[in-house]
Amino acid sequence: MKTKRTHLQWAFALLFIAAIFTACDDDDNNIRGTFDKGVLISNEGSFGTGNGSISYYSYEGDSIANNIFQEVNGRQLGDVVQDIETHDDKVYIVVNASNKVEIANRFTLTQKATLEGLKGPRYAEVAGNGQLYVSQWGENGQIRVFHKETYENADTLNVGNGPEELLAYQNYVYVANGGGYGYDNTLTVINTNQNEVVDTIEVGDCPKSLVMDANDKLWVLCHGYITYNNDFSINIQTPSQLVQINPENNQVLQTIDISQTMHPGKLAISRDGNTLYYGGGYGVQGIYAMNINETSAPGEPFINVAAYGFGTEPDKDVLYVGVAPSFSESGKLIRYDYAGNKLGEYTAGVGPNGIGKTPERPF
Amino acid sequence: MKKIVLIAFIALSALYSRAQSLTTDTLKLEEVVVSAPRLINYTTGAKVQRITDLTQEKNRANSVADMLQQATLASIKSYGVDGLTSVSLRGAGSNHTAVVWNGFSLQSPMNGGVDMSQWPAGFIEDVQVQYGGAGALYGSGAIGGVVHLNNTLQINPDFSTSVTHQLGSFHSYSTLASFKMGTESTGHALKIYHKSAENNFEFINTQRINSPRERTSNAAVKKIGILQSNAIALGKSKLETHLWYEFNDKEIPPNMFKATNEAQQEDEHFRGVVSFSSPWQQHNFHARAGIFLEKTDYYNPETTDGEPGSLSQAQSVRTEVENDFRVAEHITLNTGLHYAYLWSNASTYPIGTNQNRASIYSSLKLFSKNNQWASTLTLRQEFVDDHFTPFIPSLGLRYSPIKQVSFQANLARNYRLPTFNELYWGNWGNPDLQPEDGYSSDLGIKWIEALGNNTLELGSTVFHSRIQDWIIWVPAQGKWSPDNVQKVWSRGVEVDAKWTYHTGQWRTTVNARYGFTRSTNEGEHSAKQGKQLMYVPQHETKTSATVRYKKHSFTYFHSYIGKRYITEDHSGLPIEAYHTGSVQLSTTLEWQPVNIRLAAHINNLWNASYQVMAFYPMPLRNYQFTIEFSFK
Repeated sequence: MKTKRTHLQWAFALLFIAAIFTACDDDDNNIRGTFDKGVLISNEGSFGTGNGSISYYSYEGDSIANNIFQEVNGRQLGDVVQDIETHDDKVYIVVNASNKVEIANRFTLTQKATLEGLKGPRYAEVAGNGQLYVSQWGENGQIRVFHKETYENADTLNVGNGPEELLAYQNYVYVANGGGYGYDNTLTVINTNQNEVVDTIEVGDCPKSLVMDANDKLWVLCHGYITYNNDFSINIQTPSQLVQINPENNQVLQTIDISQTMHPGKLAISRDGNTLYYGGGYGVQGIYAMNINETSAPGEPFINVAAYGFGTEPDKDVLYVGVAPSFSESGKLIRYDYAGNKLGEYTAGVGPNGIGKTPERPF
Repeated sequence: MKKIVLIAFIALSALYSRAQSLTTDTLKLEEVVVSAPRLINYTTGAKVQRITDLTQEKNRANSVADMLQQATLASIKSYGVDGLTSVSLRGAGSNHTAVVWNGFSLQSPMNGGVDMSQWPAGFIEDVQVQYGGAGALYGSGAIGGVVHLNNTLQINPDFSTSVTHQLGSFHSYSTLASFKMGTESTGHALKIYHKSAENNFEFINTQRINSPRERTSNAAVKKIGILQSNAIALGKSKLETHLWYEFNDKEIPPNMFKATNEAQQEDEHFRGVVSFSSPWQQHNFHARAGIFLEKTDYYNPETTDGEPGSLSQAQSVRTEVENDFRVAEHITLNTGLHYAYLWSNASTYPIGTNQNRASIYSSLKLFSKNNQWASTLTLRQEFVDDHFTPFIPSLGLRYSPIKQVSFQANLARNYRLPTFNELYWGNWGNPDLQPEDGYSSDLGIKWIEALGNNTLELGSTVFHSRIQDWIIWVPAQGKWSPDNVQKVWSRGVEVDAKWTYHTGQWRTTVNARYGFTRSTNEGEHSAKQGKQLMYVPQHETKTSATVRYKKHSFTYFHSYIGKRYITEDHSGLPIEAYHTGSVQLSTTLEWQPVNIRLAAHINNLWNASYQVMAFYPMPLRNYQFTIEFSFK
């Protein structure tokens, strides 16, 4: 009798365990893929070696997994992963020097398609109509528009020189014409219903990066124009600036000078849309923080780190900073909270330059 | 340091003056003056591999690089077929391997590299590979070793002319014509080479969705080379000239990630050497001068910076005087002075970029009567502009306890001078760079045994090399700049075996070489610490078997290159190891005085899908047919 009850207890125990596992399975069904609970990081790679890559930072393990596109698909991404854009269940990976955009499932990284035949693609953005807008430097600066399902090249629009980041807002896409190797000082505004250029806004010199703040005002980071002598020493340079624009009428609200000699390349915004972060790029030490109500740029950096790229994310009050010690070895991903405290440091891929979960309007 | 040089030279010159009185008439000087005394007489203790005539004959219309790839443990890095090709030895970088043509280093003043892709093997009569550091003998850049390319031309050679046509897969056509003639006191040779190829080969593109079979595009090349040599006897003295012009027009194919590419490049080189050798009593005097011009015109219409073209050029003139002196019956002393002026007017350097290099070197060789042992001490001091570079000594020993066996040992300090790019490029160059500095040692044993119709040669060498101050580009104050920060430790083992069997008209030769190389990043506390350098395989083997019957021959080559990493910290995927095999069949028809040689080559016999440089595809199985007419 005694032994019998023990058996029964075992049976119950097993049933109980099975029930737990079943419950877990149910949980798993809610997870859309291995790379669901975290952020994707783009790593530029070293030019000419095809080792641009995607890393995944997982909240749960507080850990990083590198080379995930290659792990999943058995092939590498190519040369100079410039940007990643995530939208719904897709990630769009812009591979600049390989003239293509790779499309994969955002949660499993399983490859879906390759958009080829681009000429120096830089950044990608999915607009409200679901179409993909890709900026490219070739052909004197263009935006290539791709159909959301068939990936066909629906439209090609001529914009300014060296178009960089794009920002989708309502029925519009704003394009920062960074000047490329030359000069520009405009934003192009595209109406996404007709895919037509509807406005050109004059801003500071060489605008590169765009965000929308909590009050629905557009901020533009202008890098400043630099020309070099034959020996690559600087010939002339104009100041870097922040320009605030009212998207209702595309009028410039204010222009704030940042620096005559420091030329940051990346602008991001806090989760609540109230703090701007800028910095990153060649020769720039530190990330600077500025409240959207300030009228002058801060003198001291908020975090003293030589960021190759950085970004914020919509789910947590965290800044992700990529550091590239060289381009023949792994870079680092460093996480900071909004007070500037370091949360952790992780080995990323070569040349970490951006995070793929940063909507420009994360709130 | 200066003091040591001074003492050494006082000691040497004392020896020199004392030795002069020992000169005797009984010493018989060789009729033929050796024009490369250092290579032939003073590389004691170093492993020097001569490419055999047979290997050369098979490869006449192929490149020197292909030949080195098949027959030596040199590491050949090529960007696809006919792309930029460099050579390196013993786990060092390509600018750590000197390529010496008729006595002068061909390393580019701009980047220290040498592009071998254009050189047909038929242009060079004598190719030798010296493994290991030879800084004292050959100066800057001879750290991993030296590839010696010499044109040899006799006085009054037999008249001969030959034309080699080669037809290959992917619309590859090459022609090599050579003529040789002379008078009683002269010799003349002319070689002309032309190649054109589409190189539109098929490969499996593992880097695109579903790994499609594709064809390479934008990969065509056109090459022209002319090499003219003269030798003139002036009594017992000999004057030689070698003038070499080459022009290369090539398209630059995309790597496996990119669908198309539009870039193209034109390279132009002129190299000229005049050398004079004269025996006088116990002396052999040599004077040589060379001029080297290089020009690269790169054009990429895809460039978005508005300047699709970029032109770079550099020049150098080099002179050398050298005296090889038989001090006593078993002592020789070779002393020389080298001066080079290098300059470039590339727009990426400051206007008037130039460099003066002067060195003084001396080798003392002592050897026993029956040549049972020999030892060579070499010293070199180089001055660059007004700076001393490190004082470079080396010591080589050879000892044969019995006829069949010899032991070799070599200990050398080595260095590499920074290139123009490293010193001056843009505003990133670092004019305060010091030369890279290190030492190397190796120890070898060679055993040769002849048993009836069989000859067996076995050799093994262990080597060890350290370089301090290896120059790499590092970020400093927000910009990238080269600095003397890396330390590299290379060590390894090489095993060479050769078996020859000879009977009647049959001759069989089997060659096998194995190299184990650990070349690691040291002294840096990062993820790079202790890791094998990029692109250096730990294991490689080169084997070949040849069967000859009368004028017919069959050869099979096989090479294995181990896994190679393409990041310094080994992150990401390495390039997979690969095996390649090739077959060559050849026969010669003789209708004196005309000979016709016919040959067929099957390359990549096993149809391996492989890469030499990451993501630059190499062709699958492909074919070449050769027909050579020669008239003697």
